[in-house]
Amino acid sequence: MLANSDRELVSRAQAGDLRAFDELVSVHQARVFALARRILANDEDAADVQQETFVRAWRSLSRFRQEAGFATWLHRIAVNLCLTRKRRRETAVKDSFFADSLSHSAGPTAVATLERAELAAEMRKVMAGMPAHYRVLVVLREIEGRPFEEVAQILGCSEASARTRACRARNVLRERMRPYLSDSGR
Amino acid sequence: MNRVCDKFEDLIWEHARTGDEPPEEARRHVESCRECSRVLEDAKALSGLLAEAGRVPDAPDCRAAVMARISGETRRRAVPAWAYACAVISMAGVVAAGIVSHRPRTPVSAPFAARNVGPEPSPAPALAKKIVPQPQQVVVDSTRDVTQPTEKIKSTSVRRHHRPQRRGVRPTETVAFDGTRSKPDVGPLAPGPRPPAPNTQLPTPNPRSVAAVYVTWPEAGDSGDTSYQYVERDAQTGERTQCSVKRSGNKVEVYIESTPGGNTPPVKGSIQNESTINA
Repeated sequence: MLANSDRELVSRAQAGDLRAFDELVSVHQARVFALARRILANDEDAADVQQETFVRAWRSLSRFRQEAGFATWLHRIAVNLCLTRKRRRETAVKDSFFADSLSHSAGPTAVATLERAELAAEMRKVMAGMPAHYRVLVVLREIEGRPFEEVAQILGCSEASARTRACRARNVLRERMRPYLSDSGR
Repeated sequence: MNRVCDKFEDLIWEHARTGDEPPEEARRHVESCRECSRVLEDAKALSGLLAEAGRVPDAPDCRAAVMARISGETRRRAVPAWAYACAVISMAGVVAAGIVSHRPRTPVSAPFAARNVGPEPSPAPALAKKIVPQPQQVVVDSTRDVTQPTEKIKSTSVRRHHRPQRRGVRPTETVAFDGTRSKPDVGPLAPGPRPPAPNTQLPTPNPRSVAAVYVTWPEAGDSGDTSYQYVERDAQTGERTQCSVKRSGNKVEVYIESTPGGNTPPVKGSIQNESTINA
């Protein structure tokens, strides 16, 4: 359901109020960028998708029915844009944020942190090599922890279909990460 | 994994990701199922790595860029295309109605006429100098009476794709082949009717009149077959008129079908005429 603040802003934006839409962008742009960044693994591409998502949302705003969440609707646009972009260019995983994650980590020893970081890097590589629709499911469900109802709305499929796809995506992830899971000394 | 394991698979992953306690049923199953135990171990290991892999930098602020793009689009789409189209059609109708309403109403000859003629015969109108239609047998095949449009000979050359001038104009008289003229019963735009005398048996009232049709004739000596068709729609009344005129040698066929707007049934009529064209 639509949050009250979102509902009012969306109604005003649908009436042509640009300031209301500007406020919607301000509220939702961070999550849209994060979603795109996790799927595309590239800052520049994610920023492009972030901007394009809101432009497309503005163009389609008259068709948005307020029964569904505005954020869910936005994220569906973003996911579709990501999938389209991935289909066009098969980009290698760019670990531009790899160093950032190292600098943000704290607690474990340097060796453990390095091992963890290496494993995380391998995880990103594995995810980059997964089929796009599996990668999207892993991001939506396993990284962002969205409920299956929302995942189904974003992907435009049934909840049962989303569950089935998620199961397959996890199995693919497990199989591809099997060597690293063994080496990590579980 | 069997179907029983599938039932708990998602719960296992959710437990690994969130740390929330799974339902008792799922916990007992995992303790007793080797496969699900392995899934739980993998899920715990991978969830941590997924959290690491899912870290993203701070999002850029795209508001300025987004607003700049949509502002440009909003300005270009300030007036929808359909509004322009309606304005053009309305203006064309107004201008055409103004032109037609000021046309001098000169008597014209018509190669075709309604089946019903009024009780006021008039002398035959002057004809185009090159065409002298003879009194003809008029056959009208219609389910309803058709008030014939006023016909005016504009020139002696046939122009294909000619669009007659009709914009909500109702003819004020009809002319039969034998030269009799009559005034049609009133339509929405015709002058007001004369009140009938008491106890007068009125003729069958004509229905809505079809708008004026302007037909041009070929040059004398031109024996080629010509035909044209047009469909017009009155933007104000919604009346749709389809007319086809076909000339083959000395034979002229005119078919008119007028569909008034709203729920009024269509009015149809066709006339066949054989005329001798004098050079």
